[in-house]
Amino acid sequence: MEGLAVKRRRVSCVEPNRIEEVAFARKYVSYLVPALKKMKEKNNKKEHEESRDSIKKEVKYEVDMALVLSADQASAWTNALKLKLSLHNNNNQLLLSSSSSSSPSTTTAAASDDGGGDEEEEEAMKRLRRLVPGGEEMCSDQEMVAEFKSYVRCLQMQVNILHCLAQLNSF
Amino acid sequence: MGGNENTMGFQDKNENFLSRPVSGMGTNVSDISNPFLGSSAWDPLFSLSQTQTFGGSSLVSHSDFANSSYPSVLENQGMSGSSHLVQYMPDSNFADMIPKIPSYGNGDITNAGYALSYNPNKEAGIGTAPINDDQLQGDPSSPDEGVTSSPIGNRRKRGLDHNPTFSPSKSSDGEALKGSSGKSSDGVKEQDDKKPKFDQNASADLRGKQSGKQAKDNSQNGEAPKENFIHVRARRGQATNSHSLAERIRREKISERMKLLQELVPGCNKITGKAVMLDEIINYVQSLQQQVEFLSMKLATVNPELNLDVERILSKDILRSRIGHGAIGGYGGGIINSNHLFGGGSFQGTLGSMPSTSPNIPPLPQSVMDHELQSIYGMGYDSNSALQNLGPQAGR
Repeated sequence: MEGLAVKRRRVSCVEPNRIEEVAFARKYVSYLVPALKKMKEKNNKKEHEESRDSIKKEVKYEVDMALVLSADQASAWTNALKLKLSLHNNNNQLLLSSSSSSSPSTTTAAASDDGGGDEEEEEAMKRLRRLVPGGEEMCSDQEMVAEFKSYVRCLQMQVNILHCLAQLNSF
Repeated sequence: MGGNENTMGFQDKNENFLSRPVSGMGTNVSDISNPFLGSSAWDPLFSLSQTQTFGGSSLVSHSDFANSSYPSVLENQGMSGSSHLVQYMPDSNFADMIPKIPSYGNGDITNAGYALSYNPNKEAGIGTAPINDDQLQGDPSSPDEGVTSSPIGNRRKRGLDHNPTFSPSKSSDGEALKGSSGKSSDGVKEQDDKKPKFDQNASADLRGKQSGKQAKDNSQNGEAPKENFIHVRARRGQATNSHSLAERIRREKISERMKLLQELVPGCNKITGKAVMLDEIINYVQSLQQQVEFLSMKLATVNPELNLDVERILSKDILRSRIGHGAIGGYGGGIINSNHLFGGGSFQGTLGSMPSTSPNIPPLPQSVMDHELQSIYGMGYDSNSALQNLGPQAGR
């Protein structure tokens, strides 16, 4: 495929990030698509008894799982997310969606604080920590920032991929 | 001890030093003196050492000379690590160094060993703080002050609290402060002063104690009390109170982090101010997470023909990710507004600008991209209006 050939050529040249991104995308898609397929088949078999919510939760789980698996396995946040996912998958997936939804709400509440100087910094760091899965357990701010960077990048890639998938699938 | 022997030894060493080219600072004792070779300061000092038998009184004047030559030396080096080393010199007064060298030659090899081993430590320690590079530039000017007695005094004081491992005589030397009395003690002490500075991590606490004492002197020569982990110099004219220094170090760390985070978020380069930046970052990450949720939900509901070949997906995906990055970049300052932009009519504008943001897309995929882009955006209008509805309601 020309696109592929072009892509390969591009990957080998200037942008180093591209290699990472491509690797991530490959891993992500190759995990997610079969998982979604499986889920679809499962749902078809069950004749759509399950509510939409459970399907959504499952998809969300798969999405998060895909993110975890595609990202750099050495990162602390991937481990934390993996842990959270395994816990929640065992129990119920409501927790998963609620935890992710609670963090933004708490952070938006804290956003109104505009204390002076350093307290602001501390507050901001705390907020950042909450955003990253497992961020609160991270010891040093330095480490947290690095984790944060990798997490944000993976998030960006994930969003791109999901965009593509959604667009392709709805064609 | 053989004064003559020392001078001879010194001479030999000088010759060695002279023969060596002035290169970057290495972990070599001889290299330490090389920068001074670059200046003409060497010769006078050379003769000085020959005439003197470690008597310190006349060294002061020569140390002025040595100090004045430092700036050019420092510029020559141009290396942060080496200049760190060199910067310790001004205080030690190059002339003081000279007696040290023969002492190395005399078999005080332990000290030489210290010097050799501490160099990397110091450089490593300082390398962690990029701040130092900025502050170094302030330091070369400090020797110009010509206040040698106070720098010497500083080093004496530091010598007080250095690790006892270096030399038991240090404590006694430290007491022989104020001026260059007792050259031999100065020489020994300077050695010890020099090296403990390299091992800053160990004596960080001691330095903190000295900061109060050295406040006045530090303001002149720019030496800074050290932190436990990062070794920072106080800039000239800045408060050298240990508290304020710690503050500054904290602030600099934070600004480092902010820079790192700025790279992540597209369009954050123009934004200044910590609060705004942080808010932008947090909002951006939240919006990313929201998008993930939304898209996953979309996938769940749509969830259709997943018969697509993975390769095909990937090939389009790559293009799309270019688009995605371009899109994110094209939004500029309003990161939160990215979702709104999707719904807005300004899409065509971004569409037009997108190929420019990702210039390395060859024309062929671009034409494909345009078509797909339009389809995306066509969808995007619906999806993102839905997202907007979701956003406030979901309360995520």
